[in-house]
Amino acid sequence: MALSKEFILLNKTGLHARPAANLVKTLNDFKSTSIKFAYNGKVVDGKSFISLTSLGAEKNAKITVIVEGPQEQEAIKTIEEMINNKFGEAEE
Amino acid sequence: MQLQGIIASEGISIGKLKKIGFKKIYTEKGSKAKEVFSILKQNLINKIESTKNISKETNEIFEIYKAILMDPYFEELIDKNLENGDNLSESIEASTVEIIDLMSSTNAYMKERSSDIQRLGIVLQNPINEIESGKFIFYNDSLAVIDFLSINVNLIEGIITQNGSKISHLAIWARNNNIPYVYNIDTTKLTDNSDSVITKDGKLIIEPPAEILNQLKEEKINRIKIIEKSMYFQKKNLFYKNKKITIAANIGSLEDGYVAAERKVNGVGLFRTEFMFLAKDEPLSEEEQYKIYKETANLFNDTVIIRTLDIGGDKELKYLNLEKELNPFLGIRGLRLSLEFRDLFKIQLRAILRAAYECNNIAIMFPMVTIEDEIKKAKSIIEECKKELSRENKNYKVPSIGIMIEVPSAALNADNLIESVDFMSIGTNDLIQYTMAMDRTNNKVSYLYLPHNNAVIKLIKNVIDVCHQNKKWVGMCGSMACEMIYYPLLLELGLDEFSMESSQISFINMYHTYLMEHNIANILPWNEKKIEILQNLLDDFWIWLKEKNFSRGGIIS
Repeated sequence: MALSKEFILLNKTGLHARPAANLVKTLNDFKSTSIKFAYNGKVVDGKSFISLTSLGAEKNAKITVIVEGPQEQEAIKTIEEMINNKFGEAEE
Repeated sequence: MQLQGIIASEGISIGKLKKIGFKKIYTEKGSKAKEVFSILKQNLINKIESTKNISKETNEIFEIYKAILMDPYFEELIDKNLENGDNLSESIEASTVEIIDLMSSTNAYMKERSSDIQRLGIVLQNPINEIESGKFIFYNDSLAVIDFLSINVNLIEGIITQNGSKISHLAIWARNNNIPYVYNIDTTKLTDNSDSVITKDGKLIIEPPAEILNQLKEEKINRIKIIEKSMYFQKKNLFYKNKKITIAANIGSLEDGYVAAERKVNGVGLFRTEFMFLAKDEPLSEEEQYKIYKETANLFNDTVIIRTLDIGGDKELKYLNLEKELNPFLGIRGLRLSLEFRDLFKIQLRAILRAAYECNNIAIMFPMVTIEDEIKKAKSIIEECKKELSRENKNYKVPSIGIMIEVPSAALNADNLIESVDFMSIGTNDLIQYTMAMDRTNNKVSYLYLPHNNAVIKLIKNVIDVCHQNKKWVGMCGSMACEMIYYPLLLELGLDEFSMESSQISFINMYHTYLMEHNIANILPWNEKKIEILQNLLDDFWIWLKEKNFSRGGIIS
């Protein structure tokens, strides 16, 4: 049974190159867990940098994350932390 | 030979030209091609990972390159194109084009990443760019940071490309490393090893005469000294007499917005929207404008002031088919023109109102306001837009509304206009031109450009006083706001906000820090003879700056 959760992107530039690269690097640790990102009618692989950035999800975009596999809970938690952390983007 | 380009990273370069980033062709097909591809890919990943001594920013760019190289989707595309009969080079090119198409469908920022991906495909096939010793100005039609992977940053004197952008990674990287970079130069005209210079106004001069060369050499040394020092003055909150002073950026495009945000500027005091209109042969649609305003506002935490179209005077839009005016600076321009071309105005207002619903830091500003009735008319058009948007079930919000004070009568009459607006911003270029009756495009009368003239200062003082009496804030977005000599005077007069090109901000920051430690009394009441006091203050500042040494923590001695 897949797990899904909605998130609002909080960082200034949304899922642009740098946050996406960060995200992919982290999510690659969840090898046997499938991670999908859905936004604006598109569903893409969360471990593919190109696909993630092609979503064009900007600040305040509501995205849905769908995970399935042995590390579901952990993956969702990691994604949540990264989003809440604004992907480590400096904001002052 | 002299070629004018567009500045992506400001500075002065003196060196020989050298072309880098050549294509190399791999004709392998099928499974052999797949084998070669994985070797090339691994080689490049290794090379990226073994690059040492790189800054945080460069490291982030390299992480993005690695993310693309290791993306399973990239390999899928390569395989697909190989199966369609492409050879390896063709497959890499086709795959990068597909990736670019995918990413370009999103915002402007992502679009700029396309040159990175295109160059990644080329460098993947030819990663070696070893150069002998010496400093060079590197050029090619397109280049990306990855092209400089094997070149020591200290050997890069400057960068020239034909295609480019202010917000490409290369531009960001060049700015971070203080490497001058100019694009929009016809690189087919360039030949290797010719002695060249890049000037700080974005010219590439080939075989420059000795006197220009000597002058640039001196300028370059001074510049480096100042840049080194200015780095320690960014990101500070400025206060004067217990009041926060806002330093904001003037921008003419979304690109400029990204540059300002990267320079850690908190807000925008003037978004000159007409620049986007001047760059196109047809008006921008509501949707296009809405996206640009939203994306720009999201870059900043503080207010982003969107100035409505300021066309007319010295700026023309062909498709409006305006009649030639005998005296265009006194004719249909700024808000006057918007009130005349209501349809064009409404599209812009609707876009701003919709963006303001999404971003609560947007403000709107009307240019060239002369009388109260013009503000009333503009506001009634906003009311019309509100009704239309409600009817169409579109979300909107009316942001705070301000006006530019550029006309002397408006400056004198500020107490009458202030009731209709939330803030005022003084546009000094026109205010001085109108007050002194000097055409600012005519060099013969440029001696009359006197921001410190008693009449000009009286007008500015009146606007500031009226705003404060009415508990409203007042800024300045003309050139005077970044001319360092006037900064102490404007502080004393009580100006709340200074808006300028983002490249000037670190200088104003530095000067502010200096002024806080020194006495700036005796400036008011103003008298134009006191310009000497201002000049002495500034001279002392430059001497102080030369003598002091700085560290990350602040001043050492």
